[in-house]
Amino acid sequence: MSDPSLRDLMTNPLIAPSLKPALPKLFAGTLSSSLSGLSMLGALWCLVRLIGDISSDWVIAAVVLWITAALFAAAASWLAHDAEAAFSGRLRRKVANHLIRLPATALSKQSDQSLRNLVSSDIEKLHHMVAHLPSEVANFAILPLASITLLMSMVGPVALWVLLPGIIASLYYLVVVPHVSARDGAARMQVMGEVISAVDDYARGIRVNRIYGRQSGALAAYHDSTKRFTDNMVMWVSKVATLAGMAVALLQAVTTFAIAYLVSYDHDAMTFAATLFFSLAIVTPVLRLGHGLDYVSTGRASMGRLIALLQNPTVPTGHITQLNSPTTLEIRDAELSIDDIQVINGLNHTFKADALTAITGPSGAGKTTLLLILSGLEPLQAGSIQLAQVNISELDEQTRHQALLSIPQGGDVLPATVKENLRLSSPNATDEELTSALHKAQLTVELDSNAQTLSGGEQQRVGIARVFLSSAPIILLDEPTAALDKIKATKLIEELKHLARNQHKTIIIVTHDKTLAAITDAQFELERKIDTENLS
Amino acid sequence: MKTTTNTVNHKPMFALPAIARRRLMSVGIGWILVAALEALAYTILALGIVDHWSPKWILISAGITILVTTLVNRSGYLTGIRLAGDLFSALGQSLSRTKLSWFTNEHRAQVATIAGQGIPGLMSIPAHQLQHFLHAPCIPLFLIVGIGLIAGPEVALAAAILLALSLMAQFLSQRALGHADRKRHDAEAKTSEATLELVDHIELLRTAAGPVRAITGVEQRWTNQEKALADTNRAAAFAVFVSTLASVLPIAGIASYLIFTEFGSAMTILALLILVGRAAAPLGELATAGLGINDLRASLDNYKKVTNTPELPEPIVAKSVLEDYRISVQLVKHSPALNNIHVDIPAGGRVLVTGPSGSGKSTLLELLMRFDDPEQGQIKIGDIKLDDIPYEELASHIAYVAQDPIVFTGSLAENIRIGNPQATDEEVETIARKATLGSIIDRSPDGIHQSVGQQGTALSGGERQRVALARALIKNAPILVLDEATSALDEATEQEVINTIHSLSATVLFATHRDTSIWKPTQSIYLNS
Repeated sequence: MSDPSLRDLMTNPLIAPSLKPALPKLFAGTLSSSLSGLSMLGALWCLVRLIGDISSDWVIAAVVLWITAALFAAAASWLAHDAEAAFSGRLRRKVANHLIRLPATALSKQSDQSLRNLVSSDIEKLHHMVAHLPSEVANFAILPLASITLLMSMVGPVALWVLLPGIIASLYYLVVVPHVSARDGAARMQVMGEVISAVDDYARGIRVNRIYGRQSGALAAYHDSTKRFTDNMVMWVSKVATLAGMAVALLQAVTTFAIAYLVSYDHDAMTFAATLFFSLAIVTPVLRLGHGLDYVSTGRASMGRLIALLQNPTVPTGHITQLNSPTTLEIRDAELSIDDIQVINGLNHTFKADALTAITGPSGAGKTTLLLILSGLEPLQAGSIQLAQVNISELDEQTRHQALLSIPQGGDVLPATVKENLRLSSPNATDEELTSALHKAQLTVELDSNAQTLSGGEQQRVGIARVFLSSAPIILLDEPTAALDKIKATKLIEELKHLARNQHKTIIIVTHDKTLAAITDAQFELERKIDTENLS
Repeated sequence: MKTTTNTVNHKPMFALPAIARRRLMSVGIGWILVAALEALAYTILALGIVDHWSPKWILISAGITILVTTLVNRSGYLTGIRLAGDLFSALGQSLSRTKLSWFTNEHRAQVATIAGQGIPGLMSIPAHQLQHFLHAPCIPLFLIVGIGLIAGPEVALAAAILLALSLMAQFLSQRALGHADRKRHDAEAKTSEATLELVDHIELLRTAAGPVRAITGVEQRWTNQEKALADTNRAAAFAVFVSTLASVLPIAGIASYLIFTEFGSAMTILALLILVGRAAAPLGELATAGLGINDLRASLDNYKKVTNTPELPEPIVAKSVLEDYRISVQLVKHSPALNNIHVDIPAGGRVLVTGPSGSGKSTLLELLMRFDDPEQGQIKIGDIKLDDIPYEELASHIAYVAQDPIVFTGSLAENIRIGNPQATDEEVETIARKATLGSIIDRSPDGIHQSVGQQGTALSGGERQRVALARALIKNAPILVLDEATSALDEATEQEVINTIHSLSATVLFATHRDTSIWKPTQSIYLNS
């Protein structure tokens, strides 16, 4: 996949809407940046006029223009950063909202690290690129053009000679550097990588080396590898060091001034002065080239990854917000393949109402996947899940969330108090309700205790307590008894049965524990053994 | 706010080895020469403007300056590489003397950071930092002399004052900008932190809070950071205003001065404006470099930390171990956990070192191998104190297997032969089979010559432990130290390995989490802090 271009930033339907509200400020920033630069040039022009006509008026005019330039520079800085902040804020919300609506399998395909990078560093890189753009437009296009036009009109085409050092240096940055890094970059990185791993290896093996009397040998080998590093790197770098040194030298004003002197010393004082003052027109942008435009390519690569993420379809939703009674849950001809592996194949089942059902089956039978499908977090490829005779993918997302409570495996908690964790799903519950729910979940803890310091089993029960606070008619729990002892597990099953019967709920648990499954109201066994290694 | 790094070390350059300092010195002189030539070239240009010279001298001086700048730059780049080479080399040298107890995971991570980021970062000193710190300040200094030459001391003094003011203002505004950048970075980090919490708990948030409310918590934090960012951006805009004005202050000031004092001809004014403009040009760079010096200092300090590591003294009068392998630990105290350990171990004993985690089992075993000297008390082999034995000799009596077995890139045989470089292939294979490596040897036609992959990655954790065990067995040392050496083995394999160990006559000291009865210890040391 090639990285998207800068144009995609403006046109890509996934990214552009986040940028659009920031565009007026970005354009204003570009304008301010250009006006700042042009005011600077204007001040220089006043100095040129001063040489032709020694009068304090020109100095005053120059000072006024310099102050104007500083004001516009400040405005440009503010506008660019403010626009950038607006853009990244929008993009961040868009990405977050997209992530929480991704199907479970699409989400689990992203590695943790890549997901973390996407939401943090990729957004940062992209918005840095956006913030830099206004000043770059001024630096690379508007200011050089204005200076060159002025030079041409005053001295004529011969003035173009003053651009020579800048052009030669930019050829180095634009042609030689990319060519060399394409040719030698990998080899240089390898030399660097080798010495770094030599250090690591050496520190890693030092105990073994000394106890087995190999210290001197290991040190000699280590010195060999540092010498190899120096020799090889010197070889690679010396190929370009002269050219790089020359590019830097050419960008010193000495060179340009000498040429400017040569082409204009016979002209009148003002032309002479103008040539000297404006001769550095393209040196500044080329110096920027020397500092690298890497941020553009990294920004584009980040944009590519963000677009790829946003292209993942989200869980389908509809607009139905009313559910009829009874809220029966039914699987109809369900089919699902993940990575070409058939996970669910023509499954049909109606869950018993007002009862606790256990989904059982050997590991890899797709129990967790089925629970994800039932909760609407994983869409089917064919067939449907019917809730009160309505396909759940036609439900409004909030309605679906309120009708189907699912408690995932593992018992994750937020770094906050137990109370705040429970309020996540039941924002209006009273302290008494929360304590009673915890009690039914077989847990006795203070509401204000830090949830993250609880044991794994306790954390899991904080999650289960949500069941007793929820108004959802359907409740799905994945291995809720995994971290409970036999007595507590049995008690919990009884509480769940009680809840199902008394409050007319359909409760479904996934469990691998046959004896616990036996005391539920109904069992639904998934038999087919399939490979789900990639799903968990 | 004062940072503590400033007080750690006042001469950060002395963190560098002498040869590196000499290299830097010569490149530094080069940069001063470049500044002098450049200032000379500008002054000749200015003289040419005033007296309407032909371009000859201007072109010649420019040519020389370009040539020397190119050469100094080139040598700067190459010196950077050699500097890195020196630093890598000095790092290895100092690690080779560092006491073994220093090599904790944390310190090893420090070493890896220095090697991967610190030293490569310092490569830019000769070509960039020296230019910033020597070339940039020398240009205005030398040019003030040039200005004096053309316009007399008064104008030179005025220019000097203007340049100093500009530098100060730029330094202050750049510092404010740096501060703003850090705050931006900080806001960004906190924003990311909030976002990462969303990612880390996404399953919980979307099932518990639902699609609409899942991001309300993190959204609140984002909004706070975005407000902080807006304040920072306003402060930064003001700093940009000041910095821009400061950058033109010298040229604006000198133009005003010359006009209002009605000084000289138009051409003199042009010449002076050019000179002052050039003198002011590096000030921005200088101000930024001044701010960057703390980063450089921190890098050098970090380098110093891993090269000034604790060492153990070698004995002045060396003694040898004489066929008497009794080990006596006498009232040994060593932080964090060991307190008054007193134990005698007869030669040939099988000693279990046990206790809860954190009670100092590994520390005691490591003291027996002199990875460190105990803070109090002493350890003897026979009647000879460990610190009276040259380390190489002490090591020759000990074989050691750590919990995290170290396997080097290479073949099985090469790894095992570390224990006894003279061992024949047959001996290596016999020992390897005794260490239950038989199934691994048989699975490849290369037998004991099969590769173990990069740092042993082709082997499982248990297989790596068995390689380390084979290496220890083939050394046939009178003292064998096993620190959780069988933790990754299944019970049957462990039993087989222990049977082999039981057949040895060596003193065996071992720590284990597992069932200790199969080891049939003759003695136990129970540690409990």
